[in-house]
Amino acid sequence: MKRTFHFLLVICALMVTAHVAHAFYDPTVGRFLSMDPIDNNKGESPYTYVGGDPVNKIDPDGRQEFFIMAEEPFVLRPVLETARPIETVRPVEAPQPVETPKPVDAPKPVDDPIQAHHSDPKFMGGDPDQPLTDMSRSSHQDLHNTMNKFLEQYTDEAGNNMRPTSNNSGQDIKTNFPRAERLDALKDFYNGPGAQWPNAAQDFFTQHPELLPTVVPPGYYILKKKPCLN
Amino acid sequence: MPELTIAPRGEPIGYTLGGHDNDTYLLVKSEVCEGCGLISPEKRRDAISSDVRVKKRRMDVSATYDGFTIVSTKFKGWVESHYPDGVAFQPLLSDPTFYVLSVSREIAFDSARRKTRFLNFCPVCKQYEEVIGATPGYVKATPEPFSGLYRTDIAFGSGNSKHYLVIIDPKCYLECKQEHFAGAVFHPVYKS
Repeated sequence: MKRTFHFLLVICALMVTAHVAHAFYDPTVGRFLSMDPIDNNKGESPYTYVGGDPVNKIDPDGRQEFFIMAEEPFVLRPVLETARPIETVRPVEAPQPVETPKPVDAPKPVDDPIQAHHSDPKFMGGDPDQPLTDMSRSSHQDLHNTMNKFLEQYTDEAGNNMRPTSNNSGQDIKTNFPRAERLDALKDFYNGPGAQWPNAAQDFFTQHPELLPTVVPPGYYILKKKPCLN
Repeated sequence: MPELTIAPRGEPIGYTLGGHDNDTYLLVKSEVCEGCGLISPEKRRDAISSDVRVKKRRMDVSATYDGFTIVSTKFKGWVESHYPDGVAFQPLLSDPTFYVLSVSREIAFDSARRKTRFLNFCPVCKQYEEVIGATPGYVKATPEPFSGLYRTDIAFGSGNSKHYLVIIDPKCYLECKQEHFAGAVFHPVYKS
């Protein structure tokens, strides 16, 4: 009887504390009940949670703190569109697929991994450190095929054009067209056939807001301030 | 007198030798002009990164996005055995099977005939931000004898990615074609 009572007492104690892998945490006092196993050497109490800064940090297992990264304060959003289309959404944690027996001769799943697109291509002089647009490989290929075809119409007096080919390298394009003309061609692309990849267009105009049209017709993009989180 | 057009006349006297993009940058942060942010041509070679590896490695002749011509060991060996005059190869420190090609013998490019555009002059460093209009190339004269690799006296392109055109004579061009150097791109050059 005494042993059963002792067991129930332990269970109750566990119910009022939260177990965080390597330490017991009491949410009512906001402190760990046991010392941090890793000495942080920062002069902080070994019983605090993330140094008393739970807004900006997390500590999933009690062993190491991580900063929560903030997003850029300004973003471009398509007019009348509240969320980025699925083309660029990269799941943070993909759900584990339910294992089902595979039928015989089942069709092979399409291998279409996510790739990063330079909305201002490097062969046109784009910044190598520009923010990248996530899209599927097939979508990425379609975009570049469409873009290359589109760029063929931009020619100079000598008959050169902006389409990259086996006989027209990126270096050739950059020596025959100034950066302003290359950017104008890309602006036309993303306002024309390139608009079917709205995230790439959005990322291009985020980099070059000076190329946005001053009068915004439907379907174009405008700058919009993201609401402050604090 | 009718105005000259850019359209070429006659047979080419040589060819430019360039390469496709190899998705690599060589320049590192360096001392730049306070007025325009350009690196002077003299300091450009000293601003090559020591820890860069070429990303697209199958090409014998390729170009970095910042205007350097990169060649393979195969191309270097061929040039050194056939046309060694005025050519130097600087190995990449962290990728020693690739070399930065530099050519010292100059040919005067006829920018008026080609209608080359010189844009945004910087009074501080006396450079143009952009020099646009390179192909088809026109040269004022060819040296005698004209054999092997030369470069233009003008660098073309934008910002810190400007580069000289490498010009080769017709015989060298035919031999290059026979060697099938991967990535090499040729364009005809005419006399004014």
